[in-house]
Amino acid sequence: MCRPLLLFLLFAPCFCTAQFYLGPLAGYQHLFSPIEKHALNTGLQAAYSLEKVEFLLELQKSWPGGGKTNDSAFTLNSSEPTYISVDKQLNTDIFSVGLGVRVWIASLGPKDRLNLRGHLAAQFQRTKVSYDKRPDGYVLLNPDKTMTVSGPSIGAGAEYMHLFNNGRLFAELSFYSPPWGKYDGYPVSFYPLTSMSVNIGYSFLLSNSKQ
Amino acid sequence: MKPAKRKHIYLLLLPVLLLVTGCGKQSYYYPEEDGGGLSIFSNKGFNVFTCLLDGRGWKTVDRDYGRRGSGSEFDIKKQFPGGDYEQLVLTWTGGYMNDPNQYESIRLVLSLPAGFGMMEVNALSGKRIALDGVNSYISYEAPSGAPSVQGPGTVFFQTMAVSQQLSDGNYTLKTAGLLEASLDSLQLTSGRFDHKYSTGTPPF
Repeated sequence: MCRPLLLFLLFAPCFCTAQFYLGPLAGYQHLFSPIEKHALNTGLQAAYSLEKVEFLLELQKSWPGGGKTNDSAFTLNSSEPTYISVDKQLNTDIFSVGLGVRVWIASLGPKDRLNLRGHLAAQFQRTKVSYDKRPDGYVLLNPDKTMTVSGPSIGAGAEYMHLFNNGRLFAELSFYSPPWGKYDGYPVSFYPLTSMSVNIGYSFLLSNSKQ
Repeated sequence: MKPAKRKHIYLLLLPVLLLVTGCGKQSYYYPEEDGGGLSIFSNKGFNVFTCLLDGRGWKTVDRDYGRRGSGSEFDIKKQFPGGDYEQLVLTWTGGYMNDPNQYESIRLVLSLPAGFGMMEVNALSGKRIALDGVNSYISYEAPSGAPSVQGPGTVFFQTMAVSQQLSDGNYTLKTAGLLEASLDSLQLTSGRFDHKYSTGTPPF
């Protein structure tokens, strides 16, 4: 069943024009989280292009703006209020390195293309938790702590691409799953983040060879 | 031959199934960062109690989930001392951390109006209560028949909820809170508890 595909992948470079591109991308990332919602996304993408199919290697780093929420703290000290609210700051770092495939599915003009993309990445997320200082004697209920999770994630998206002589400009909309990994079992109130990215990038043609 | 082989496979799976379904342990201990072994203060039903006794960590161990009585790590019951009040008694069995002797107990005895029931118990939720050391108190019972010590203190019930009888015939009890006391020469500080279990008999 997979043999024709494997043969294609193996021999395709021999039959077509192969091009190698490298370039940056940047954009906005929406995080599906009740606390942290917005991030700046940056990345570097290498593409090995075989006409209608390209193979990608992509590094991405997100810079979330963080988010503030609060937890409850209680005291047994009868001279103080039983309950206070304590502000909590969450800051998540997201980094991924992934392999992907880009498929040219439609032409929108002589130099304009519509592509679909799929990715398999190794993703790392670290959520840093910090609390505001609270008066002595107050105990936090269900406190969070800084946690790291890493594991495989998948992504998919659609992309508009405009061709230039020595490069391509692209704008993409893509979704990434959270990493499939577990926190260390500690009962945190947050969870690994799913993201939606709107990126713009430019890839420079580095080599062009007729195989 | 094939069916016989299959039967052997099922026999191999049996211990695994027993491990998965038969264990009653439902305790979860998450130490607080820089807390000297204290668990975090939680209300998620982790079935654990920790405190410091004169600064030394003390905790319950592997509570038998859903089992009440002397063998369990936590017990809640009603006590009738006589007079115009009755007592709600919460007992934790455990010991000093890293100490092989884990059969000490800490008891919270709280006086409530005679005839109290679920409604009065559930009304404790959110309340911080001073214990006078006589009718309401905290006691610590060391092993080997050493005399128990008791004294005044303070308890805060962040959660205290006993359900009505559920469709499966069980009652669910949830309680979480903070505790401190002066027990003669012994100081109990930073006590925190978090329990949730089902029982087939009404707790009160």
